[in-house]
Amino acid sequence: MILALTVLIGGILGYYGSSVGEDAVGEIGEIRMPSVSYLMAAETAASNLSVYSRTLAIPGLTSSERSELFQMSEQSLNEGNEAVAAFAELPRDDQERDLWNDFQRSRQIWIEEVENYQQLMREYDRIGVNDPSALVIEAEGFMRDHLQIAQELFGALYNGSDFEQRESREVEAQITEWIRQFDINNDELQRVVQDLDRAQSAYHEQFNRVLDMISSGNSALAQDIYEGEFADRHNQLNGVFEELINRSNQALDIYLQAREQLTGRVADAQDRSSELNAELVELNRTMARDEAEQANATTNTLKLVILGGLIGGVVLAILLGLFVSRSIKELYDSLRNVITGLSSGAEQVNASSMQLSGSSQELAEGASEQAASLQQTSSSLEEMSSQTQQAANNAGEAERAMKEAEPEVNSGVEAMQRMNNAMEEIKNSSMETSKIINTIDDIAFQTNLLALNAAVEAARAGDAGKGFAVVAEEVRNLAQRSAEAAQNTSELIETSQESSERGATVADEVAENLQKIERRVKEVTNLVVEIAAASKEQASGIEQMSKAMTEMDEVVQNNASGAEESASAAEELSSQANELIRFVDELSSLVSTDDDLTDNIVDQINNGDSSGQSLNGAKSASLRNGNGTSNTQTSGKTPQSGISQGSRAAGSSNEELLPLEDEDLSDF
Amino acid sequence: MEQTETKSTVDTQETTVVEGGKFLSFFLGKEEYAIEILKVQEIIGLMPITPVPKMPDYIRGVLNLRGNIVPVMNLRTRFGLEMVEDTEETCIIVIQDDSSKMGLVVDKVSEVTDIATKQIEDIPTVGAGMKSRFLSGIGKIDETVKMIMNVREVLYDVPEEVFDSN
Repeated sequence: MILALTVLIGGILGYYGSSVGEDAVGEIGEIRMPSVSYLMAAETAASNLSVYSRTLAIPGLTSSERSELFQMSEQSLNEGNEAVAAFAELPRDDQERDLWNDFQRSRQIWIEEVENYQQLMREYDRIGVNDPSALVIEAEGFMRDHLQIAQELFGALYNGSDFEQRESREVEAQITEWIRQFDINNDELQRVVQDLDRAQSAYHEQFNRVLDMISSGNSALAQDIYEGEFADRHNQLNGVFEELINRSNQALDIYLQAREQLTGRVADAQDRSSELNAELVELNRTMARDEAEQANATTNTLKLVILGGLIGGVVLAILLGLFVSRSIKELYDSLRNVITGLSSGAEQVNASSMQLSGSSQELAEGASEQAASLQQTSSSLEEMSSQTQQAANNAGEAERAMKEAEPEVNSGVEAMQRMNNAMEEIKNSSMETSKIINTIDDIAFQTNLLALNAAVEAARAGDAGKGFAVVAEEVRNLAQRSAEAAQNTSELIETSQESSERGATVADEVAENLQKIERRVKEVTNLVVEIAAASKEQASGIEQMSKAMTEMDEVVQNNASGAEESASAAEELSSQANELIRFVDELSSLVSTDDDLTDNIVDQINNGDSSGQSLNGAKSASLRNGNGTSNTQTSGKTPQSGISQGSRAAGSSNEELLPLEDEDLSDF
Repeated sequence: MEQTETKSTVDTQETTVVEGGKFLSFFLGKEEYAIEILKVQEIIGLMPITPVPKMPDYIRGVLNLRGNIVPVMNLRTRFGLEMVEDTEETCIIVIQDDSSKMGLVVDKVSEVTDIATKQIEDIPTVGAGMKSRFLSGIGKIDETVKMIMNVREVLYDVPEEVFDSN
């Protein structure tokens, strides 16, 4: 075992060494090399991008060339981004991470600057003037030419100087050619050029008209045209030229701005970024070198350790051989111990089997009693079950009754609602009536006034009006009576209104109470339902219980018979234990009789014999001894005293023979 | 012509003594007043009264009575009583004295009643012999007392321009 342990340690050390070496190689191969290659790729992409950017700034490029350059720049930028992203995936330590973060920031700044630059260039491209400074010079040249021929025409018109038409034709031809060779993809600029074309042809048309007039001698009309339409056309032409120049200047401004951006901020940002990139590369290279050196050092150390382990293993093996030879001696001792244990165990078994027999008897009696009481329990359970069933039935009855009560309560609530409505109607019609009463009251008042007026008139009429006065008085009395009646009626109506309002309040209260009753009924119904369910569950539980009781009964019966059987078995066991004691007695007498035998065994072990041989020797000796001591077994009628002697003898010889402890045995 | 003459004779007599006859009685608060029925032109319910600026405070405004413009007086204000809100029973008694017409706003019109001359007493003197100038006598009928209004005094110092609206 120790040999195996030694080999194992050696193996583990070897494995550890190879794995450390592998780690280092892995670190270099999987992290450092790709790191360097990604960083280089990013740097290459950046320098490509910078070349494209510089190319883009060359004036006079065509639009298609520029768009190709934009595309290539975009591609380089993407390649760089991919390389950086791949690098970002790799693991790194703190130092490298700081540097990496710096690099990422500086690269981000650089990308932003490059994008700004490209933005400017795109704007420049969008304006569509490929070479703005050249365009400005040419446009100004044409403006001067047109001004010059106009001045010469002026001279011919007002001072009578000669004018050669060839000159203006030449200018016209030049400008037409110039316009034709424009290659423009910007709509606005296209429009400006078209404007220019139109303006110059209108200019030359008027110019030629003036010349015709001069040549036909109509100089007055020629002067009119010159000062009028021709001057207008000339101004328009100049306007278009200025617009063209403005646009060119605008493009030039943007171009200059872009170039400044490129040579200034972009270049700075790129320098910074490249510097950091180079630092990262250097760092990775250094780290790879370090890894390799470390791996070498580890391998060397391991070699030494393995060598040491081998030597240790050999020494251990030698020690082990010595130890084994000593352990064999212990075996003999232990055998004696076993015999002692066996004999006391057999005695104990004998005693316990007696006990077991008694307790089995008791158990059998107890089981019978238990069976009787189980019978009682089961009958009372049956009674309980029938009662529970009764309770469940009653709960069901109650539930039905409750359900019947619910619609009645509901109809009560509805009736209250109807009564409320009726009350409301009474109130409304009372209000209507009181309106009518008001009208009657009003009529009575008017009638009273009429009657008074009639009385006044009658008094005015003097004696002739006396009869009329009586009539007027009567009318007035009637009016007063009707007013009183109206008053009474209105009081009555008021009373009835109050009563109906009180009635409505009472009805509301009743309705509320009914609703409360309804709620209670529902609650009670729910409770009853729960009770019914619980009773059912209880009933089934009791049924299960009684089943279990039946089973228990069977088990108890079995127990009773089993206990009886075990009692008889215990008696059997007791007799067998006695037998065992006798055999142990015999064995112990065999082992303890010959002290020379043990000396012999020890000698044999010390002489380097195999343990198996010595054991065989011991066995054969003891057997021989057993045959020799057969008298003692037969003559010794008391086996117990024999055992006690044997164990005492074994105890004394144990201490002498075996100085080793139990722990050492277990080690063995 | 005849009517006005008879009126004027009655009026001159009334300045000293009030003769019995038919009276129209009305209420201002709980007190009952009476007017000779011949001074009454008609009784009307409360109508819309148009206020007129620059009038004495007891003139409430004018009303349009079947095409005739009649000034209306708050009799309570005139008698120095506190003002009350108009009610359903508030009426206007249109009176006529000589050619002047005037509507009087009263709380309630009571009845046309006979008061005999012997039932009329002179008004009691108040304080240092001052008589309430708006009353010309007190009629006693059974247990009740009706103060007989002096129409002329009520209309006496009403500025002329009030009647100009006629």
